[in-house]
Amino acid sequence: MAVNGEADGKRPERDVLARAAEGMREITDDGWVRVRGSVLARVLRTVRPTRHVIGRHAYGAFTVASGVLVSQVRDAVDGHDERVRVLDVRCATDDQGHLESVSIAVSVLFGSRIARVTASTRAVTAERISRTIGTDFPLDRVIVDLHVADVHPSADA
Amino acid sequence: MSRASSSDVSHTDTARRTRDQADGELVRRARLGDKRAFGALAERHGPAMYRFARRMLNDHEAVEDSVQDALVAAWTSIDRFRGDSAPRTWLFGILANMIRRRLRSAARYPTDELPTELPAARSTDPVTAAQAADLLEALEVALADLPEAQRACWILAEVERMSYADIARVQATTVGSVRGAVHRARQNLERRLEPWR
Repeated sequence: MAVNGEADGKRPERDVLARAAEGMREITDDGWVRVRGSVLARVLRTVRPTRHVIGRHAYGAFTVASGVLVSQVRDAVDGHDERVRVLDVRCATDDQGHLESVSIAVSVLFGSRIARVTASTRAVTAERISRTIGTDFPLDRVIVDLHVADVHPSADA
Repeated sequence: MSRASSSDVSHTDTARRTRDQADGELVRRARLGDKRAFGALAERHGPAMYRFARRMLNDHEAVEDSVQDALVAAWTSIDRFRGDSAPRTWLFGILANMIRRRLRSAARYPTDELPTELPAARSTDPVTAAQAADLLEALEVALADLPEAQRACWILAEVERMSYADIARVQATTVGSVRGAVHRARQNLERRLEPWR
């Protein structure tokens, strides 16, 4: 198969080489089979560097990694409405780590009612953040700045 | 191999687009902290990354470490991935960078040669399987003798079926250099595999 605009032609030496390349492509190295588990486990144990956000519960303050907060928001928004997909979530904190604002970029399905989607996304985001960093945290300190960064076609388009 | 028809090309393009879209969705979720999504991405491309590293490095530990380090680097820097290339190209670019560093270091501190470790051929017919295994072995030996740039470019082009533009990104070079390296590699390998015609 010519991937780079060069016809393979019918030269026998090229045919042998193509056959050999195909053979190499189709096999999985024994080495990968052997190390796959440990490599993947090591990768997934790696913690990404992230800032901490201060949360509050009935017994005082606690910290939560901003990566966890981002993951929670994605989980909530992605799971709430199939017309919306989260593209990016940014948490802004003050010097002490108090959450000041959350900026969320989403992609919405073509043809969606933007205002309705925006309102529901904002509500779901605020609700999940509030639940994650503590119910006592005043919601008015969480500003959800939402903008539409893209549109995506429906799955069957 | 026969000349590719336009429908073959179209099928391959469609398959590549579908793969890139699926990868893109996994990257999107992984950027937002979904480890399972990154695990799935690593599962999809780990075998090819290992295959490439295995043919570029001469040491089992170095192969494993390079693939692992590349995946760890991808995971920790995924929020900086802006989608300028396909996720697969991005992963291979990180890996190729690790490999280049190791090769430079290995040139200063040579290690023992990697023992031949050939997987079983898939064919159930023993004669065909034996022939396929022998051909693969001959290719492995011929590949090992190629200069590094030729070897890398040929594997990425012919085994991994990357475009020259993507290979140029992975190898941090120009499309013209890639084209030249693949051409010279092909000539060398064809000469080495001549007895198999």
